[in-house]
Amino acid sequence: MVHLILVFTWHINGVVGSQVQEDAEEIAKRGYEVIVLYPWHHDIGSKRRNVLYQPVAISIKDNTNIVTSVISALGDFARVLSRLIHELYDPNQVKLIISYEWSGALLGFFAKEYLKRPMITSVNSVESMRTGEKSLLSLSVRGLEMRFLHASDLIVARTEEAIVRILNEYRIPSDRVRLSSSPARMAFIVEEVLRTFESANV
Amino acid sequence: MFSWEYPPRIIGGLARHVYWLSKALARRGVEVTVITLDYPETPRVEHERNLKIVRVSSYGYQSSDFASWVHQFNLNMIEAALEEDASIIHVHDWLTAIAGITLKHLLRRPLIATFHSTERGRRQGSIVEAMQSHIHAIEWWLAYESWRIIVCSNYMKYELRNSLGVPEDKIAVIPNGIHLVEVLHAVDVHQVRRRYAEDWEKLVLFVGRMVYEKGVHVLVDAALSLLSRSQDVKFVIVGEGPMRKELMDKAYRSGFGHKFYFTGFIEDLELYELYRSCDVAVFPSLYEPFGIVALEALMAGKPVIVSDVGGLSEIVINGVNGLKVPPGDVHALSSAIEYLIGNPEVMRAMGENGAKIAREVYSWDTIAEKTLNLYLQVLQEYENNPWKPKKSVK
Repeated sequence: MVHLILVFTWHINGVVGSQVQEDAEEIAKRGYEVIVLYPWHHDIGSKRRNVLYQPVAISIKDNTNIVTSVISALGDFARVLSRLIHELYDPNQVKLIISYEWSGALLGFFAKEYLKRPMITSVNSVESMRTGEKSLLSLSVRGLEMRFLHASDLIVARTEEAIVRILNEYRIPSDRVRLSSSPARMAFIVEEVLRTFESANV
Repeated sequence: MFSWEYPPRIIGGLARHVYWLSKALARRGVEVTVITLDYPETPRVEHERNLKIVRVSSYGYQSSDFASWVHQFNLNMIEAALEEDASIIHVHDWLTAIAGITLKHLLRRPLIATFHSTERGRRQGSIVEAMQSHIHAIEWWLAYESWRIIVCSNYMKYELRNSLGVPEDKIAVIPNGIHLVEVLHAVDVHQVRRRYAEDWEKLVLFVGRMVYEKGVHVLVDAALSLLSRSQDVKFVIVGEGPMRKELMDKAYRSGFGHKFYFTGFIEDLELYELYRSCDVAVFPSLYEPFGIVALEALMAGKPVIVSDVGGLSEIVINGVNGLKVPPGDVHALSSAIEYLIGNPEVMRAMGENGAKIAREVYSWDTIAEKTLNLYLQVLQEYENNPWKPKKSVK
């Protein structure tokens, strides 16, 4: 039986993109089949082995801001997810959702809800670290970030500052937050969550 | 069924459409769940036999623009819908498109969309700003993703074909319906008329949002033209919107302010009383996908004067149940009003014809039957389609 892990990310390049790719490779080494869903991009650098990179063609390109961009991509991510779980695999082969940042958590949350699987969200930075602004857009991102971090079963902060902000600004219970600065540690956390979820379902 | 408005939350005609359609479908034995937005002092979930209303939160989050707000309540709709079980997903307009498309793919269920209007139509063909482009793109996407599309008139069918490139065989024309009982309830016409006009004054009624596309400014100009020749007429203008103050100022500056009655928003009961009590109803829209208000006036037995545009043009048979005038033509509108109010026998005959046609063609039971037939046709196609999922989630 294939144990499938689905990764949802809005970023495939840059700091977060590197984390996505390195984590995916490390988790795949441990025998899981990892599929990374990301918005189609002409260049995602050197692809890692053992990981299926599944680009998602984005239908709505005329957007007003990052919030409308991410939410209006939801249907596209659902289309690709649907093909994976209904045509290429079996929905019951999916064991875990991993999402990156608030945008990935938003996209992955509905897969979690539909498949009834746990979701780990990796957070490199929160909105207050990215911008000191109190614009409506920034407040909107903060609201979504808080909502989908609370909806995650476990949050993996990638920096010390991120963990402090997640605990203090979003009041996430500390037993649902871990710190990881390496792919190996991330893979360990993934296996820990899978064991917990499986034992809870026995 | 997804709609951003459902009574008591009423923004435009969509709320009434979804309300009566869902009730009529439920009466025919269809289990209908309407997912809509919350409203103060209204329960989150309501049941009425096989009709279930689920209201999701539309407040409590920040949004930098209208689209961000719309998309965020779509997230709440998806979350609520994942707790339901549906054979068909039916969305109304772009406002619930994200929820519909996402659920279509997650659940692998057929998606049906009713387009009540389009952004290009609402903007008179002009898509300029980023928000307009975004909405237009979502409308295209919704049309693309839908198994079938429902529109209320042939005019809208052509608009979808020309504006969104939708193949004609994907579109079903099912008109809007009208609820008979409320329009036809007993009314003391004499008493109602006295609230608005003197006994010797003819009552001309307009109902609609006070926005440019409804052509209410054309009516005010036509009224002023008519009033310069004859003063035995009163114009009751029902509706709210950004043009209201400007038009009120114009009417009062003309010296004929006392011949206009701008009511603002009024409750349904008062509106139906006005339909029954007026002499003629006027709908001079510049853009009108259907024109439910004209149908309400016809159902109340009143002749209508409409601009020869969109769905209005399909509802009105010129000289039989009303008169058509070219859109934006102040002189033609003024002359048509003058002709009708000067010929009571013609008004009476047209009113009777209109009520008869409206009852036969536009009852909600007829509309629900047509919608149900479309559902059944789509389900039959879906059952034999390899896209249908083979395994469910455990």
